[in-house]
Amino acid sequence: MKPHSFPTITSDNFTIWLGLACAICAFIGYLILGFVRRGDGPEPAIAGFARVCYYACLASIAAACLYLLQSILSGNRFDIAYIYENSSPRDSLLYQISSFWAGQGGSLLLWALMGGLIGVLLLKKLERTSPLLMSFWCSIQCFFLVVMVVDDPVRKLAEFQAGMMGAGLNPLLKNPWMAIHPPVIFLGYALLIVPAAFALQALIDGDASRWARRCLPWALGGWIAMTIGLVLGMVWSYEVLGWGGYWGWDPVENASLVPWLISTALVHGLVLQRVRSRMALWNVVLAFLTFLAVMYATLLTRSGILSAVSVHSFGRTPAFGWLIGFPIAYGVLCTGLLIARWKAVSADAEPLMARSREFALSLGLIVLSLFAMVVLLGTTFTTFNAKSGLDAKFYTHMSIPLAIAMLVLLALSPTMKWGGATSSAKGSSPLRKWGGALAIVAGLALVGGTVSVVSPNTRLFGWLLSEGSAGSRIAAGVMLLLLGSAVVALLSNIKHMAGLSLMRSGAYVSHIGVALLVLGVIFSTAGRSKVIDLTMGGPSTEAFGYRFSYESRKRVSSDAERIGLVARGRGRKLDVPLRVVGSDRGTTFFPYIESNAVRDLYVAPDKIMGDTITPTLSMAENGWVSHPVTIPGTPATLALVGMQVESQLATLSYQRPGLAPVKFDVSEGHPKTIDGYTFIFKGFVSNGAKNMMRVTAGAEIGIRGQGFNETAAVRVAEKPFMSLLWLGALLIPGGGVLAMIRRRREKAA
Amino acid sequence: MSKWMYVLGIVLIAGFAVLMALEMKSAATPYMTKVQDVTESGGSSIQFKGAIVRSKTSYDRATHELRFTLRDDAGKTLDVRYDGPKPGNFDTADVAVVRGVYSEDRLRASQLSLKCPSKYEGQK
Repeated sequence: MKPHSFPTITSDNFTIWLGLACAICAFIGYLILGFVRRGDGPEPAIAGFARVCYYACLASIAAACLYLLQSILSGNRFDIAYIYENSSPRDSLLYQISSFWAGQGGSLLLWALMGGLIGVLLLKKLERTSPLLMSFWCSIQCFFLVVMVVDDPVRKLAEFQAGMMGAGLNPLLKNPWMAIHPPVIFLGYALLIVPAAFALQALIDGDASRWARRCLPWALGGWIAMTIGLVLGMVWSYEVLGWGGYWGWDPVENASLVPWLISTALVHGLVLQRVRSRMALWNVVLAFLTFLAVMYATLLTRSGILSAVSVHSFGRTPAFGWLIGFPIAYGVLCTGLLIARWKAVSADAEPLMARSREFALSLGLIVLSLFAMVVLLGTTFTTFNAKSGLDAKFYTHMSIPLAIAMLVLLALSPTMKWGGATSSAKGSSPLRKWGGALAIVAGLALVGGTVSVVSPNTRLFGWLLSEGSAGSRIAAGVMLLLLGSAVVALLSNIKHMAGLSLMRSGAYVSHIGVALLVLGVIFSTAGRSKVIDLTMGGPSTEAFGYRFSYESRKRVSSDAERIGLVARGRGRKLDVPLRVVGSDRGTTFFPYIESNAVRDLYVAPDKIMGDTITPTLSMAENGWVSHPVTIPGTPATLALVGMQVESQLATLSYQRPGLAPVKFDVSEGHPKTIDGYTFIFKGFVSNGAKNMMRVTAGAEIGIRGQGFNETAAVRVAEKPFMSLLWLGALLIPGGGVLAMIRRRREKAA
Repeated sequence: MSKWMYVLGIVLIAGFAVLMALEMKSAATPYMTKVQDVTESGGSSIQFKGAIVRSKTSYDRATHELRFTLRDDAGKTLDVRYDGPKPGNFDTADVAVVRGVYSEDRLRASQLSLKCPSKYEGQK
């Protein structure tokens, strides 16, 4: 990362400075108001001052956002580094707009705007009663703005020269899901800070009995937004990245999973407090942890730490100190207040009864918290440990027992009553309920384990059994346990939901979603994949009941090609178009997915090869050095000796051993034939597009002729019941929305 | 709630913590930048970062086996075998990070990432 100069005010960023000044004034104003104000007397002058400052701050942030957006859309502000790196007027309007939040600076700006708007709602509802809550909210705005002042999102590009144009949005991010994913996540983050504000106010007031009711809609809203945001990210990962998965346990994903898990616990805790007046202390703690997890996610994703994870050189933003200092300060504040007001919140009325629903819920909170801890520790370990990485199996191994525990609780809780009252008709004892559930799960495990050991090749569980080793049989047994608990949770919730009105079934809908999601995960990961090689016009290859053949390759736009595969089988002919996009970030392949209710056919190009070689040039101390590439199957070499990026023209040197090299130019639409080989220019690639320091540059050259064919290595995978996963992912936030609507109706009534 | 329930809970959580510590230990893959450390790693999973020696790259199209050599700062080299299609940007990368197990004089890589430009979220 480049060294940054000392923060200065420029004509581009003065709105951010102004916003910071206003936010600080509003913060101080509300802080004074919080200590001055007593009772319902006339409004002190300071209240008006603070409010004006708050709105001025919001207006400044909005102006900064509009300025950045307008600069992006103008298509001629590539002197701003952020726009140069993320935007291009060649992109469609949607992707020009979404380049606003494609990088760190713009994301923070958007987040600050969301926080500012939510603050207006808080202001309207709570300003009179809770000025300290407002000062806390202003301090968050200060945090975002100070980070942006130090690490200016509209910083000038140092190497800018007239005529330079941005590379545009990373092709991987050009996807409608990804275009809306960041704003939804930021909305979730901003809303999930609100419960901490309420909790602080409750501690200051020394009364934690009433805040849960007021806080629940905010927490639920934030949780819904976070859930939708995470699911959008999963869909994007599955549809675009081409690795066939939807969750990779990488730190960026984990950073947002931690606040989601804790806020899930918080939402349940708040319900418990609302219904049973319990968990007041725990909810305060969970609200603080949610907030701190959001701050931690900000630190991880916005500090630039993660952008360097794969190469372990921790490039840091100059705002790193602020990014880490604020969360620590908040952590100290929260802990301090909690200790000081411990007594006021720590009295739970009556002991828990093992057969009560609140007992199951409390256990659920513990399981969710443990899960959050696993993800947090793993992520922290990978991010800050410069000496060692962590294999993703850590997360999968740890999450399976937690998921089983969670599903058992989901299966049991609908059968239990608040306060532990037994249902009169059946009179089932808690022992029978818990024992029954355990017996079902243990029985399933026993059956599964026996089947998997006795008959490893059984068709019934064939999906779950990869190889015949003992370890994999144990793994299959564990998976069957997971499968069994998911089925029981699903059936139990469906049974208890029947007969309820839609409005009252929110929790059941979400819990059915969880069970379906787990089932989808189990089945889809049990699917298989294989790599097949195809030659254009060559023989077809079988995979999962289809015969694949490679039929065409067409250029569909200046930067995109379409690889036309055809799959014949199961009584039909299926076109499988694969998109290949070249940009100066390199070549990007996009998968093709054919889905139906029972399985997805996932086809992802691993490499379109054979016909293309990439001779390169690299920058050395005394100029450019070219690296010849052997033409496969021949003794001849091809070297890149010159390139004109503007006119897209490459100068190549073809050499056979013992003969003089032949120099010639190729450009798009102007191939050259030598020795029976035709060389076709396909484009330049580079590994240093961010700055002007292009360390290595190459030209992709297609070859035709004797022995050269268009070949493609394609990974074909069959993923059973992905539909269950997405249905579950839809139902989880769906249940939350139902609960939200129900609350609003109850309130209105 | 009776006392034994608390005891059971504490035991379960303690057991979970132990499991987590064990899992973390077995899933950890130390980063290495010296070839010597890799050759002494004794068959456990490690991660190595080195410069690609371009002249020693070969790729078998039939089996999708990519063989290449990485060099550390001291100039020592490490042969790597990666079973998988050659990544599209392999030819323009200077530095590779490989994860795998060292055995029989070479690193059998199960993961290969290349130092290429990418934004903080776009990379996988």
